[in-house]
Amino acid sequence: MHMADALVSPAVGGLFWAASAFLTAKSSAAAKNDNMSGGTALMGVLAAFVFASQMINFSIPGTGSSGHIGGGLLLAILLGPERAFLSMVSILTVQALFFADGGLLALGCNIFNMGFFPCFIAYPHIYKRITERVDGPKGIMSGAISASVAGLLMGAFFVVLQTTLSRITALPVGVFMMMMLPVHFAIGAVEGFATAMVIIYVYARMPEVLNGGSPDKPENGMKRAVAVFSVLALLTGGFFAWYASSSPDGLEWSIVNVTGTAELDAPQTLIHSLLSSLQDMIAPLPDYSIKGETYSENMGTTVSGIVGSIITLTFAVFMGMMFSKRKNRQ
Amino acid sequence: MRLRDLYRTEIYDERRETALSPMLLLCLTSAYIITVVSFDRYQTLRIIPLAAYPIFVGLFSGVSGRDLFRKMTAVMPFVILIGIWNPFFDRIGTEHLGIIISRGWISFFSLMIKFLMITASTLIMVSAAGFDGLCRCAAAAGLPEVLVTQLFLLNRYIRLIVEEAHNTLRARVFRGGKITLSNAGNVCGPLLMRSVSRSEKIHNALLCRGFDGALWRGKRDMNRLSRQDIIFGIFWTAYFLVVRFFDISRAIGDLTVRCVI
Repeated sequence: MHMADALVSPAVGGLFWAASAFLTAKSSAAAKNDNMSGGTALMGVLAAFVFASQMINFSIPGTGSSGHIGGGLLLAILLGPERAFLSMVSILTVQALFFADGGLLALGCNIFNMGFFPCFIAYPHIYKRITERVDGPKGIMSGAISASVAGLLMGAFFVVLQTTLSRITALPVGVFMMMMLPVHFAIGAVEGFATAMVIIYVYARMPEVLNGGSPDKPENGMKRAVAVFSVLALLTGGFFAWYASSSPDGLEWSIVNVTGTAELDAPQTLIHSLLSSLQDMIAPLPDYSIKGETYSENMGTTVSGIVGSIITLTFAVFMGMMFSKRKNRQ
Repeated sequence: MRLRDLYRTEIYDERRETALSPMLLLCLTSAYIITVVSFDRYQTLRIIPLAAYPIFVGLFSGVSGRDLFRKMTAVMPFVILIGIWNPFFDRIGTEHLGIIISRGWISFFSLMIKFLMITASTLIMVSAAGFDGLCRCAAAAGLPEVLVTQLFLLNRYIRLIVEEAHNTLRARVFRGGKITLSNAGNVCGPLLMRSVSRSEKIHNALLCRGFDGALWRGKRDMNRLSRQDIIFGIFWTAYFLVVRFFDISRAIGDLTVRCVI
């Protein structure tokens, strides 16, 4: 479910970077104040454990497919939401930088999709509530599966939202959602089952580990931040569902209803004409809504573009090799 | 991600002496990524001159192209899965060099080129600056101490725990055991308990050495740039801006075609 940099626009990437940075700062402050004995070392080693255990793919008998444990939920159960979120931030950063799984710009999106939902929504509001009501392995099993499915579905929904808002794919939103959600429902169930098996094993042998992590009273500031982001996520999701259902574009539909035309005439001031010419320069295909036509590109333009690209890249190779040799000689 | 991929970190093992500041590389790579993704999905030819940055820095820091490509192909499927639908849903044709090609294919190629360029630049940055170097510069820039310590510890213990997981799996398979979902508790449970015990030992060892909550504290002057860094930074920032706002490949191509013909 890792979003790649190529799948997000700077605006969407920046927005989720800001949200994730805010949550990281709040979680860091909460972790600093919770005085959990040995918490720092435990976070580091457990993050490495999640990394390692996610590489173990358990085969699912009779299906030919496989699954692994759910990292965010397991960490939240062992460490509490804030420390689990920080561990997820570190795991996703290492995955992005070492393994090209994700990317720098998409890191905010990935942290939000795979850290925020399992740690701050699925764990406290689903897993914890179920295990409080149903004791023992039954509670762990039903809690882990429900929380894992819910966390993954919310994450997958936001992948669709981020990709669509970035205008990367031509895939209609409904089709995209129908591709992502059922698959992630199944993955969530498998991850939840595997996570529950591990927790049940530890519960039987080392129950103090499960109680050691989660502080009973989360900080007020953290609670407020999570509440704000949950409401924002709900609003965005609600708006997006409406946007997706109003074909073809909800904003244009509303403009037609208000003004009677699909596009608004921009007021002709100096600033507007300057901005508009800048926009034309930045986006040579600013409004790609022309249908049923075949464009004919100037052949000379294409040839020039190819020749120019080859010359630029050859120059870069030459300069790189030259500087590299000079550095080695030094 | 597969177990064997973790051992392909050889390109990051030692910090390459590029003599460039990690902070500069981080800022330039971020600016590069934003420039690349800011292009429209049909502007395939306009993006290509930006490949000069990863090519130059990769050659300059001596990163193996084969290792890079191997890493990039491991994560390519998700991007292909999202992009491959464009040719099916965006069928408007455009003519290039006398060939009619649908805009869906153009946007697909543009997505793949963007993915390759961005991924290469990120991996080259880590290889050139080193993970520790990047963590230190992030700490000096004000990243929370808890997170910096967490990143250092994770980086140190990944190999150890993966090695242990690998041994557990090997022992189980050699004895005829299967790695199925119903065995998840028996395979990962003991590993988890060993990891918890290990973390207690690490915590005690850290306390013995005077650990006070942070493994490394950032000093602001660490991110001071040298003259070479500033020239490098200005050159590439200017290049990104020029490529973003002017079609330089077309301009150079026009000039060359006119000179030749």
